[in-house]
Amino acid sequence: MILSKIKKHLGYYSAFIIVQILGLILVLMSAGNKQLQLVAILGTTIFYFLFSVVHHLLDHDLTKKIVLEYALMGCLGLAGALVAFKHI
Amino acid sequence: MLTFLRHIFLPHESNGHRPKILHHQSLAAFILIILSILYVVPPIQQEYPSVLGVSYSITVEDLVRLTNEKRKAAGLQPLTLNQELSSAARSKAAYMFEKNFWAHVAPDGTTPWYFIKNAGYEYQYAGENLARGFNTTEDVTTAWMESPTHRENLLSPNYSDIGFAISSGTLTGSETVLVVQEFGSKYTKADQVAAVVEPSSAPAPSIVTEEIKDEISVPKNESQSAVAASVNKPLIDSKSSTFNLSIFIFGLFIIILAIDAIYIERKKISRVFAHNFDHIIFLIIMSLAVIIMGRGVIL
Repeated sequence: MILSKIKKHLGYYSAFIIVQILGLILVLMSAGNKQLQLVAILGTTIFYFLFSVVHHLLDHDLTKKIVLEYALMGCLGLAGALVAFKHI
Repeated sequence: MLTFLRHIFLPHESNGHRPKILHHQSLAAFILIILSILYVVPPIQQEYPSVLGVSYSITVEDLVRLTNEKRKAAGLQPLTLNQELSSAARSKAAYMFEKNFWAHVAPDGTTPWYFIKNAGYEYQYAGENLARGFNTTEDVTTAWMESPTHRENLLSPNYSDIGFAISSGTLTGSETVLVVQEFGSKYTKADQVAAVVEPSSAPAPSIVTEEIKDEISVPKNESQSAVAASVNKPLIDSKSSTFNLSIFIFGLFIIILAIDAIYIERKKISRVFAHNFDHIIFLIIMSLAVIIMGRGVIL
């Protein structure tokens, strides 16, 4: 089911993974520049949320619960990264 | 107990075939707990530094010893610990914390050479290495040795003296331990007769000779950037605990999301919201970002 879903939306998942990896590369490349690292993490999270929501919107299956799920997972990732960012 | 754990972590009839921890309320609670750490840790760190703080074990003695070991292995003369260069390093560290910058040249244009000359060290050659976010002397020295430009400074035959500063504080938004390493060699009488000036395009880490610009007083912020004890062992290391906490949370959710994905795949359960694959990718990226940020950096 999940595999067939991935196959069906291969373009979406490919673009999603590529941009996420690009965000990670920016974090890696900006070692030493904490502000830029923070921007990269923030950008990656915002992209994760918006790209997923827009994808569901185009797929005509967007619901409030889906938006909330992505928002919460995005906040969880961002909060975890922020705590680490502040202290490491 | 097992029933409770199953209810929290595994898909089951009791939680609507979705682990309770993945329910929206649980996620919101987790986020609030994590964010509260951001506000709870700094006051505790300030009030009880012996309980919660950045743990590190970097000593000037070890830095000198390891530097000279590397030089000896390369067939070079050992460097002598110089108080003027150490004073310059302390001033540079204090200035970095006060002006909140991570660079060889300050945003106002103040170069490392200003601090060296202001400390009373009349150099013929001078250089600077910087490091932040390392916990041990070995890690700092290894990182410098692995970088060609920093290694060039460490193994330069032009230097005879060395000075260090090890300071802790908040730099560019993060609690960190900063190590400043200043190299130098003084003019000899023969050199003063015929000095060869070879300006460098990059201020550091490189071998340079340069005239000092106008005198500027060196501001100091003792509360923030006073040279700290080179060994600090609080009861709880804020750096490793927050790092481990982040990685643990990300790992926990990645595993639970993976188990949930396998479960709904096997049971052929259809859900309106179960975008586990997206979430797993995102959390893996965040975990790797935290791991990258956790590494010390040199300049």
